Amino acid sequence: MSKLLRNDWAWLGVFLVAFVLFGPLPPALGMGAIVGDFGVQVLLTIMIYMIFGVGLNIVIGYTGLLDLGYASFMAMGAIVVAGGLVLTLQPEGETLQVPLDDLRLTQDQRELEANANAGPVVVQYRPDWGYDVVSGAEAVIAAKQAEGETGGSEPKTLSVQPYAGLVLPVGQKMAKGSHPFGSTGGFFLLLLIAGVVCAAFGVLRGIPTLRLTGDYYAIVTLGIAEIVYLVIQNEGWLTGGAFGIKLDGETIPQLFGADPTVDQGKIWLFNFYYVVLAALLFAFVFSKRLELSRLGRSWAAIKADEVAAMASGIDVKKAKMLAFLASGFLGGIGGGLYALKLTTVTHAQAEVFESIIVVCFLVFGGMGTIRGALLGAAALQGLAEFLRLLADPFWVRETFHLAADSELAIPNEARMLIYGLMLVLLMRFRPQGILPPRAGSDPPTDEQLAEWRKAKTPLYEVGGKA
Amino acid sequence: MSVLLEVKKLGKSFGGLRAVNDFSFKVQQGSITALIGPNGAGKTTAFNMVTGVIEPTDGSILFAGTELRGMRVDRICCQGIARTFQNIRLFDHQSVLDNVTVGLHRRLRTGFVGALLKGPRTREEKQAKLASAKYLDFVGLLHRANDEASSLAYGERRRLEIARALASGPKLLLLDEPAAGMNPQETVELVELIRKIRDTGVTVFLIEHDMKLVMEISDLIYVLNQGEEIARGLPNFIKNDEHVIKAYLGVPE
Amino acid sequence: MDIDWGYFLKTLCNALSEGSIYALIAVGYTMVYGIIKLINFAHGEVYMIGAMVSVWLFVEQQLPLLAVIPLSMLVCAGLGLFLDTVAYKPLRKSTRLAALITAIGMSLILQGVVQLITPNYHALPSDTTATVVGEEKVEALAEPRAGAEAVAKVRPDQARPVTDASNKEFVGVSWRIKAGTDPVTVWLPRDAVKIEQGLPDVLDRSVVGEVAFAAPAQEDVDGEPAISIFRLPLKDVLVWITAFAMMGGLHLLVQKTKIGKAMRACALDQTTASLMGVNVNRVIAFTFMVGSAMAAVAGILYSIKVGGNIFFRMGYYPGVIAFAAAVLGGIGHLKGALVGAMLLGFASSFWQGYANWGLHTLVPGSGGKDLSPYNFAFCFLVMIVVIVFRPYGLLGRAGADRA
Repeated sequence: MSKLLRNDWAWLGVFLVAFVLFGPLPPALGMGAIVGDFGVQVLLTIMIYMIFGVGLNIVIGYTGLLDLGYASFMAMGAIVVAGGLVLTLQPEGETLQVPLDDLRLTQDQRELEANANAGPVVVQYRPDWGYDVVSGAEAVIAAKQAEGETGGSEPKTLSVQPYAGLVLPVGQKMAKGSHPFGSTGGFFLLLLIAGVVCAAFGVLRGIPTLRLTGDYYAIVTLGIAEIVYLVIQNEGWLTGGAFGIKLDGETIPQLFGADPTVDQGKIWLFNFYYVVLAALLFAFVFSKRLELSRLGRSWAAIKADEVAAMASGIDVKKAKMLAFLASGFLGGIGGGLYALKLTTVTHAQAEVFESIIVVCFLVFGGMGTIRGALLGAAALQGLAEFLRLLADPFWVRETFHLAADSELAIPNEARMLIYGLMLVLLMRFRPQGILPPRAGSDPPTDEQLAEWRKAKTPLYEVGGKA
Repeated sequence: MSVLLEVKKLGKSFGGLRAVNDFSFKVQQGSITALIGPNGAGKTTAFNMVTGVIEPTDGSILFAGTELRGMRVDRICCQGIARTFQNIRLFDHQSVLDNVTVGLHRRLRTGFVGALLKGPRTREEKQAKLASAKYLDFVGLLHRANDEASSLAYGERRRLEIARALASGPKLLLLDEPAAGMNPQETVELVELIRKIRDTGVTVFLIEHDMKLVMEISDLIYVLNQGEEIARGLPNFIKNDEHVIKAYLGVPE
Repeated sequence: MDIDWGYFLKTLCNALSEGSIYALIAVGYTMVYGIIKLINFAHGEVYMIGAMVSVWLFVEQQLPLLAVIPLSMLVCAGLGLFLDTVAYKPLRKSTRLAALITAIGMSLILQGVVQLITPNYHALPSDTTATVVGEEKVEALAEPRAGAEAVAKVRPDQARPVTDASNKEFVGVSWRIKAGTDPVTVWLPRDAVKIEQGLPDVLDRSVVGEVAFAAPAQEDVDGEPAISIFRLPLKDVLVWITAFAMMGGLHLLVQKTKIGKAMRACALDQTTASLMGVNVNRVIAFTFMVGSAMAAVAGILYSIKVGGNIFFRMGYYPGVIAFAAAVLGGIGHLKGALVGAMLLGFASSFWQGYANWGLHTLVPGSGGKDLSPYNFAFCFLVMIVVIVFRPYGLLGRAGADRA
């Protein structure tokens, strides 16, 4: 039994079965998932975080380097995909002054669009940009709505900062089919691009870190992650700035024929769910094959003793770069899928705290094993969702049958505290995690010994004739 | 018999300290050559220069005609030199067998792409595992193949390290104080093992403090004191050389 | 070249203050790392708590500054002792990785606890709709909930009072519409907002002296040449004097006292020190306490200098920058921490002051691009470059004890 507990494939199998059982059912059946719509979203998040965990495990678990900057990959992957999906036809421009009169509410009264003579107009904007009249899109909308009732106000102008990537010229919405990444194939291509971009970033980022050990490596990855975060936050033209990149019915790609705007997106969600599941499977096989290969052995050697690894003929620099490449690749793919799940990609995805969360998965699950990464993601993300429920006094009241006026709840702010406590307690009492790697197994049987002695291989040549 | 390793006028300065000075020596192919000297004599420094861990200040290191000076440590291994460490550097949390397989690294071919496309069940992997088993058998540890490396006794750990070094198929094996920390029984087994290695054609060069071992197996001994060579020759000669005795401040055991 | 000297002196003044504050935090990092090779990730939070405690003592308890300083130092020293005893000491024999993760965990715990305890007055009820402010009329749509003291509580520097044509007073409050976005300004009726003094005006606005310069870039007013006045704020002088005194005191402690000698011995070689009769565990605990007390002073000085912006996350960036300063100067060397901190303080302040000017001068047509939010990125970059190329720092020696 303990052997099964240490089998990565067994764990994968269990999780796959669980994901299928509790996931969305084929829409043709007309039934909802066992866990409900909210539950399906939770499962999706767990699957995506599993991909992140598997990816980060390559650097932290296999190679033994404490990477604190994984959020950069997560965010970059998301930005590449989201940005690619929202491809612009307009170059970015300077700050425009758009008369408020040229703005009108869309049909659903929820967005603003401009008259044709206003020129290129942005769908989202930064109201806090040096103007103290408006304070939020809602404000202008409220004003517009009020305008209709009270007969208008004085002409005012609004400063808007167009963001390349968010600008869709009015009256020129791109037809689904003509969007280069709007189709299924195109989306997968975009996903691949995200993976490659992040892999390249991983290698680039890795170059200055090759000679660093332990603490210093961690701090440098942290510093780089912070720089990336600041860039993402401030370079709105590239990454959507404060409001991020928003995907909607127009820009979310069709998946295997399913359109997200049709039939409440049920079929689309079903397809997307299984795309993510397939990606998780891919990530697992990708990582497992590397783990069991010559490269994986060199990573393990580096983790155990870098000097001895070098003396055994391992090109440590190259091996580390490949680890960064592989880990970045998976991070980019996970990030790209995450973009589709979130539908709004902001700089919050690049926060260092997100990196720490994934590190927590690995620390909890057991550093160095894929099964640890899977378990850690499932347990901790599940915990996070549970905490979110616990923050709602209504839910707490209902579930625990408390008094009708009970406001008992664990506030959202406790998240940081709980993660912190978990890290400290784990390091104190079970630093190796729940499912750590275990090297020893039963001694070879006599048959095995005889077989080894009998067989021949050209690789065994004592005597310097190799 | 040809010269496998030829070191000419090797020197190393650490700031103002001259750790090794004008040291030249040769290692004949197929021999067991030893480098001895009191603590602080510079033996380990010289050793580390040959293995590429430290950059020499002066001199050249020729191995089968190739200049080793300035070469990266893992490239030196590819030239056909393998080494062990004084404080035994094993991969403690891996199995005994896997430790040896790492040694095979430079002789295997599968890279990143190959690993992804072909997976772990290739002929090369099977061969690698088999070869590892055989190297373990050579040093007498095959019955412990599946145990975790940290569970081995001290003497066994040394033998495992030697097996790993042999797995890289070296022409020259460098041993850094192989008998350090061993009890007499383990030392005897070590002597046999080193002889066995030499008999297969691998040249051995070692640093050692255990005089009994050195005298027993060496074909040629070099003696360093304070960075400079003070004697060289056959064991019987070295045993009685007054310079050597004086340098050690006491009778070697 | 026409230099705006008033502006330059103001930037210089800020740089000195910023550097002083970083220095007081950096010594804590460098001393702890020098002794037990641990990056105390939670040190930034000690600084944060120092700032919070001092503000609370000063504003709520109305204690004089001379009492606040030692009290905060005491509290933070206790916190440092707590960190060592509860979190780090049990892991003394563990791997470096475990200790590092524990430090990260403690940092999160402290942030979390403070986040829970301090009321978030900026969490306006989610059904608050934002307001519209026009040239003549201000309408506020947010009303305090029944029974609530106020809708929001702000410090004077965060409140922008405005009166509309009917002389009704409004206050602009910084508010995040959505988590992860930048805050925007929401206008609320003056009586829905509680404005609290952070520091008495005397301390906040007093000026030690002022100098006037010709201002080259500005237009003349009424025929009088434009001048740029540099006012030397009292609070900056206070910061410098206090920081200088503290650093001096620390220097004396480490160099001239018996415990200081013990600290230096442990930093060099713990085993030998213990063989010489030094109680290493006590020395380590003491080191934590001293470093934390210094961080407390840094917190006080920050709240004097900035006057606001004291919240649970405020320790994060200064913490990382201060650590970078320690590395820059040579980890383990006190003087190095000071040098590194001053360098980074200057880097940060001068970047904020002149980066845009530099960009616009060098790259014509880049008008509108604001580089100033990248001051911390610049500091991080400096840290990374130093770690990669000279991990032993400016004052350290090659081959000396490295990570």
